[in-house]
Amino acid sequence: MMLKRKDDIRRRLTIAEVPKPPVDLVHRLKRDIPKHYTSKTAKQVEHKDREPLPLWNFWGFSWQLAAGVLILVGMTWAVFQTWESELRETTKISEADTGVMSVEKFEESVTGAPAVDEAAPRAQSAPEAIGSATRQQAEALRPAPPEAPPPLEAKAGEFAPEPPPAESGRRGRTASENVQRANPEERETSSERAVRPDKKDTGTTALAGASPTADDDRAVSAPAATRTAAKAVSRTEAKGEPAAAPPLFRTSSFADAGEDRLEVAVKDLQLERIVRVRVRVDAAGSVVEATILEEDDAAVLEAVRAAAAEWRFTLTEDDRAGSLTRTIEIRLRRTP
Amino acid sequence: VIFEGSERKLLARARGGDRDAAEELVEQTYAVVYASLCRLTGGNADLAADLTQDTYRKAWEALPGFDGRSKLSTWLYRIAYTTFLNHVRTPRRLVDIEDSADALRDPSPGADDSLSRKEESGHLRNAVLELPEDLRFTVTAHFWAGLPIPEIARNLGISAVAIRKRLKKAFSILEATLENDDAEAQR
Repeated sequence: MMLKRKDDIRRRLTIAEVPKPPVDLVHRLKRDIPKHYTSKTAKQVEHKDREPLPLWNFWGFSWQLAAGVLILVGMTWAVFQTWESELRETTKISEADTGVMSVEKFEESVTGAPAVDEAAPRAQSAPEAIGSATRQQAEALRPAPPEAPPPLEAKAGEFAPEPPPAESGRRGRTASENVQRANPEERETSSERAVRPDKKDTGTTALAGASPTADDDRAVSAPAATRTAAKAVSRTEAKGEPAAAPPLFRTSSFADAGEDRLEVAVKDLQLERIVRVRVRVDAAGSVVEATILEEDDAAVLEAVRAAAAEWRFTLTEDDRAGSLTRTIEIRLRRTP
Repeated sequence: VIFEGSERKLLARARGGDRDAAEELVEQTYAVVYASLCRLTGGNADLAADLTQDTYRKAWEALPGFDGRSKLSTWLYRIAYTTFLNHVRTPRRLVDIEDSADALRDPSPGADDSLSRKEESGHLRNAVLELPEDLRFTVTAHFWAGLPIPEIARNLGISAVAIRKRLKKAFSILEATLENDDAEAQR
């Protein structure tokens, strides 16, 4: 009975009718929503009206663009500063450096002559040549061996007019300059580097008017007058004025330019050799400087040095405008 | 029924001042609030509508303090119930309720059964409203507002078992009250 009564109460509470709200109730409720509740669109419009117009929107200003421009200007300025400082240092160095070196550089820049002969058998830059010459000079300063054993060819006593095959591969392409044999004249060797008091002799052999000493098998320094004259010649050429008569070198040239290799008959030479020599020739056709490349044999060096007195270089018509640096080959052979 | 996810989003938007969200909340909840108030008032539609309007006014004011511990519907019913009690405790309003109950009586002939059912419902409503406060809220929230027991327990901060005990106790009181009413009616 008790349970039945409770269930009846529960049913009467549950099945109570659910009245429908009046139609206008929802409108009344919406109308009562406080004013600070604004719709999204109205809020956005209000927000835009309240917010001041930014400067960058008005003028098309962009922070990213401004930052990019600033970075670009800064980098340009930094690069310019670096370049200017480097230029300043270079100017200071070149001003401090005096002597033949600057003149030579100027000369080369004017003439456009390459430091290494393009037609050389093995491309070799000037620093390499100087380095090798330095090594040679160091070798020369060493006490020479008592007596070098004669090569096999010399022992056999044979003479072949052509170079041996092993040497021919070393020769390769010869210089374009014509090198011809001339009458022997005065010979002088000096180091171009030795001209400068602050530089060491790099073994560069220059053809000069002074005779070398007997014990100098590699390079002989020219007298002071010779060096001064060489500088004068170089500077005169650098200024573009033709050297009328270089005092230290022969100015005669051969008309029959056709050889790029000099054959020298050398007495007492026990073997035949091909020696590569780099020469610098001035506008008048005279040898300004000659450097023996990669040769360690004292006897060969002596032979080349002796043969240098007979060198005479001539230039082709196209090359006469300026001084040139070429690598030639000197074939040493025994006197028949 | 409002899904919890969408309810939270709407609440967040409404708290941010979004009028559209506030209107959507009204549309989704006002029917339940009105129905519960209509039962509390004994079927007085106009009074229930007015109390619904008052409920939502209070709700907008109290919305920033709503912690979301319970559902929005439970929170709204709590406001509606308090609003109703405040209305009932006003002497003038109580008279109005009696008048409205009298007005509910259909004077047309042949409506005796309907009248008797309405009288029974009136007796039951009066018995519910005479329950102690804690039992009254529990009964009205569960049976008239349709709130589940766990939700009522969460709103009141008590366990569901305590709610069930309250309901059991309320039924016992209601049973005794209705028996007394029946006995008086038979006399």
